Amino acid sequence: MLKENILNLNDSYKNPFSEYNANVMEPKTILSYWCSPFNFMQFAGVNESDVYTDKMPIVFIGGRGTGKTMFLKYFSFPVQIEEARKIVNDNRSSLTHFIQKGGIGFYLRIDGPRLRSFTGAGVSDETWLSIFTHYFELVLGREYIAVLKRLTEDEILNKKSVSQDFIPKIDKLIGNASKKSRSFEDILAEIDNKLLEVDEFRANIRFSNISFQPQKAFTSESLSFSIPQIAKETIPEFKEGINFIVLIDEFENFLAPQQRIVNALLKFVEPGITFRIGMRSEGFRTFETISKDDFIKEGRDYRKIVFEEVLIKDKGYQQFLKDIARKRLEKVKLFMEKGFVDISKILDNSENLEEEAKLLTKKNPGKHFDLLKDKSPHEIKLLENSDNPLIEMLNILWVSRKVGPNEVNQSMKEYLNGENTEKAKKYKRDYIDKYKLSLMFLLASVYRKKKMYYSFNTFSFLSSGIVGHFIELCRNCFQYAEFENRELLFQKGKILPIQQDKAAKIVGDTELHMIQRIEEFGDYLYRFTVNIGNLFRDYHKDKGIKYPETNQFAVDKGAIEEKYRSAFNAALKWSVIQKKPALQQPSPGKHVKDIYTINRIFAPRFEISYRTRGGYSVELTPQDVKKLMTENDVKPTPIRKRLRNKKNDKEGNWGQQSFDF
Amino acid sequence: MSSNSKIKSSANYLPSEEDLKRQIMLTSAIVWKHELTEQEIEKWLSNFKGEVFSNSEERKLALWLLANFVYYNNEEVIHLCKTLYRDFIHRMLSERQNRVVDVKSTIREILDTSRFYYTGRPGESGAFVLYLFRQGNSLPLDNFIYHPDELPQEISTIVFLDDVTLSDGAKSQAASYIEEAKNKHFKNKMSVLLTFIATNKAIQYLEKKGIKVISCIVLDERNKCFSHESNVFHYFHDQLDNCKIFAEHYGSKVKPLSPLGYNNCQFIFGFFYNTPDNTLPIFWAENNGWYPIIKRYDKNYAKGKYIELERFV
Amino acid sequence: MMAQNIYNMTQVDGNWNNIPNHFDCFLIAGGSDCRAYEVLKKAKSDNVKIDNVYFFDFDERKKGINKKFKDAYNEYQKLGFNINKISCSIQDPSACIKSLPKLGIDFSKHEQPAIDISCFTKPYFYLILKHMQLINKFSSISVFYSEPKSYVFPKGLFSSYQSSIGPLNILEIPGYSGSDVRGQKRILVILLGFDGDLSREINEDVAPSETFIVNGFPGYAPKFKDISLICNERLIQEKNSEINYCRANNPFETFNLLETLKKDEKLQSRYGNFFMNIAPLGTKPMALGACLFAIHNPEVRIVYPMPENYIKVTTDNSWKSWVYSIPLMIRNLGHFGVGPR
Repeated sequence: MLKENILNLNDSYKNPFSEYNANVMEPKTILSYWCSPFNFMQFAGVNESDVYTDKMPIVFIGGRGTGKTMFLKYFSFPVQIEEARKIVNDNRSSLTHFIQKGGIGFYLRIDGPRLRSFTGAGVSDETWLSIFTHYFELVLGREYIAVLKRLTEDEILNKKSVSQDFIPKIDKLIGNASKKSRSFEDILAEIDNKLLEVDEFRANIRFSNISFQPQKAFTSESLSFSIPQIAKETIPEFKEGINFIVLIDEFENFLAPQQRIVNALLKFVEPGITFRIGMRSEGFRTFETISKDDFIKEGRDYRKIVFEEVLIKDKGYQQFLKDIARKRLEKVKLFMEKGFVDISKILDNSENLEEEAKLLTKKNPGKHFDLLKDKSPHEIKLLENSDNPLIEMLNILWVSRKVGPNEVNQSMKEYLNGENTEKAKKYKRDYIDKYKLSLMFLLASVYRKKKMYYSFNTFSFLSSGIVGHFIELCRNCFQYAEFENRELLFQKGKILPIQQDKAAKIVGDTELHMIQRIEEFGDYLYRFTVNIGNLFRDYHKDKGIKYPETNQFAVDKGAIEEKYRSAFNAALKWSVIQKKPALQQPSPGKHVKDIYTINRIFAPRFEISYRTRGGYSVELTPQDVKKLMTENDVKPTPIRKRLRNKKNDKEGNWGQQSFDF
Repeated sequence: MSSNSKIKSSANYLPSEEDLKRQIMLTSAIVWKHELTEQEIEKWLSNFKGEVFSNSEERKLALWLLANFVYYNNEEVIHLCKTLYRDFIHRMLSERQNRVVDVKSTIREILDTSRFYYTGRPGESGAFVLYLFRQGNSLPLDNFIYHPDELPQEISTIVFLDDVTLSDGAKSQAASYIEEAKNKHFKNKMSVLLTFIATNKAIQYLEKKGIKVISCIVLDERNKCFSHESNVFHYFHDQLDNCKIFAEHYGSKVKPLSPLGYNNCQFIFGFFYNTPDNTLPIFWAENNGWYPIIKRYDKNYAKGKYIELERFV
Repeated sequence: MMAQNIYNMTQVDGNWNNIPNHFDCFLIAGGSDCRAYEVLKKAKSDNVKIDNVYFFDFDERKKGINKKFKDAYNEYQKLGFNINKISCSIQDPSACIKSLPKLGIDFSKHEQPAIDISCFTKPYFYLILKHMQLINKFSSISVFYSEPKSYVFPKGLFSSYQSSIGPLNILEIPGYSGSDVRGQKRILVILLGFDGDLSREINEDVAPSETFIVNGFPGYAPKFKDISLICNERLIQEKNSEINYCRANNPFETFNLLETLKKDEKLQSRYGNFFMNIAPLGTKPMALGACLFAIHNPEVRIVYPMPENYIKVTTDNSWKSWVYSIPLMIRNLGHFGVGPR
């Protein structure tokens, strides 16, 4: 009950998954949480050293929570200097660390509200473009200077060459006419004053029509390229091959004109400098540069690495998640002492569908045989296996596909006896490889109950390659466990499936709700997701399981009407839908197309599979996409009927209907 | 109410049990410092045996009330102490506004001529609140009355502290305590009562008696659980009467004389250190085999009645 | 040495004691909410003299509403005040303020300004107050506000509360962009509201080194202090930081809290000078306190989630009305009411 002196959990326990946001983590914390993805997977041919040395700009693409910021920040100077200090004792030797790496990372993030303030107030787009260019150059220049200052103070760089050669040249560059010798602090203060000019303009332009008249204006490349150039010319250590790696995060927040400025830098990047951009999918608002006739092109001007895609398809992903979880669990004394640091043991590695099925059917065993209304009790008996309702469901499926009950019974027996016959092999293939999960969905449907989502394996699928989702799933299930069964969690290090299921559903619902908040297209995307989720749900209720676990769709994006295509791109940008890595056939015999899935985090909400089977994809027309985005409660049946009536679609041959229990 | 004549309830329109438990879980995690678990909730729910409505309906009504319970944890109580102190200073300053030349020195003057004292007897909550008040505002000990009969001449204001002042008229304990104190020790001094929570009626009653009241939280009809203005049933207005019947039925099993709280206050709040008996007894009662969800420490008014100590003393 | 001021905050209860009874300039927002004209009605019945009412007539609030709401919106016309209508869009307060000279509206010619913020959006009254300070050079203004009696929680669950629907855009409130010295750590102070979506989005976008959470307590009603925490559960669990409190209907307490935070020694020693961001998601009086603080500390940035659509009905009925005397000039401004916390 509520009273004082009860176990105050705050003293010894904290939800290990509660703190999460690399943006707010200090360098030491980032380092302590860092799990190198390079240990588990190869990023499409990119190694860790390529991040520093590859001359071509790289764009890292991934949704919120995929770990992009953690990734970029890891390579930034503040984190790398901490890493260097772990390896070497003296500052001068840290230089070796950077030489070996091949570069120094300069992390840059300009938040959305700031970027959006460079617009409107009656000022023309071109004027804002100049002002933002000036601002961006100053911000990046300042970042360079701040890091070089630190390197000098830590005696990693030679103080003499810096003060005698480097600083005077920088002074001149930023427009200091004074001959008096200055320090890093003076230069930073000078840059800060120039930034203040921009801030004052942005504040006052909202009240009166004023013009921006800085003391000295900076154009593109004037600081972003010049400062590294001067460093190479004047600081001996930079002649040894240390690159300037500019790490720009959340590039999708840059408005189109602002992206043009950075695109120009990517295109005309000079030796010794390179860019690593972190961005959401479809984050490019434009490929143009400052000159509207010029644009950047993937492959020629930059390389693209997709986080989610890599993480989803790579087998190393699960190990990656375990490692991330381990680091967090180890920080909780209680778990550390008891050795409860393996998340796959706490959640159990995989679902136990047979147990789940037994629990589901406990109160009314055999109800699923109502699906076979025309069979005699004797025939039903042949199909029974009281120990395993899923096996019974498979038997029902076979019978509905016109296999005789005797044959079904024979196959079942041979499989259960472990015999090596053709019948047993086919039975096993169908049960284990093809239909088990589908049967579970169907069974839940029959009993008017919901399929549960639990286990580490399920959570890793639900997270859809987005580490943030996985952490949120864990946070919620630990929260439920702490409330509902504290003893089991603290004494045995276990969380029950029912608590994991609640977490999965809450997180799915929350993420679905948040779609509505996506800028500009939130309403369209919410409707689209709900409608397509319901469509997939309809397939999952198909008693014939013609297309097991259907949860992907194909569409020719280019043919979609512009407004809805933009919304579709926003859905990709925000990971509401995810594109499968390569073009595929929507179903056997069809032309290759882009295949998409809805983010699997929504699977519990719609009670659909969290896996991607391949095989059948629902083919949507551009009109379908528009309908799904603009209408509420689109009925799945008309779309399925249309697809059924198409040539070569054999769904109609089974005469199947959706369940309407 | 016999189980044979159960009233029809529409508690099905309340949020689901799962949603209510989730709301309570979050409240427990953030406000109640994880002190409530599902097991304890289930134990409490087992008190309700389906004597008025069906079991599931009674569970929902109980959970709805629990979800609306207001619990003040220790940080919040300290904040109330700080708020009270500032409200007191503000009130004193405002009353002298025209004469204030320098705010700082006027504050000093106010504090130099005021002394803080508890309401009620030592061992009651007023004294505890006084301690928290001193701590929370880092006030010097000298500002607190030690020997009530030895007050310096220049003291003009006695500031009484209490946590709740909910009753008016003859039932007003605050009025009787303060008047007794005034008559015994503090004649001709201005009396101010600082209280965390008070009702409008209590404030009006005390002010008529010449006691200034400063309260952080003033309760009105919206806070009476089963009043028609009640915030608890603002959305589910049609649940109000049934819920009242439910609470009264079980309340009368544990507190027959005040099934809906002392003086029929019908409140649903409590502090980390105690729960007032004006709160619905279904939350805190412990007699007749009732399992409480919130602790209340009753006052032991009996003379010479002590708990039995253990074997080794 | 910090100067101290006795703040002035009075309940408008029909007597208008200690409240000025003459305003030559009264700004009000059009709305069909019960509280929209509550103060004007009280003023009318108590014979308070108002020379000019400047009525901000929002296009979006008039579109697509039924007769009942339309009638409620137009109730101001029955009060018999001298109305100067200003047509404007809720989405663009800056354009509205800039258009005032073209409309021949100049508040500077007045001497006793007042504004009822009950139905203004926060960006709007923020801009108006800044305008009053910067352009009109008023030293103080009377700000009125009417509390709602209760809030609307769809399905009865606290976490179902929403103040807006559809997409959100996190913006700097025009005029309050602060001074972000790169290299300074940024801290974010979130004044909690009931709409949990907003705090998360802002926290993600601003990405501060540290977030301070402020809960309105005591609130308008006792349970509200829990509701704001429940609705912002994810942010609170993520931050795991202690919760700060200030009264939900007292802007001066909010000011004091912000000032104390800004001067906090522990913060200073941890970060040196830092860039303070404030997200006023809580009650309007709390937002008013943050506005007052930002006016007097222009290096502070105010960020706010601008929705595409506001939900039309989020509150129910009207409860107490208050008037605050808000000082707009920096000279002699100090901590309000009492000594430092």
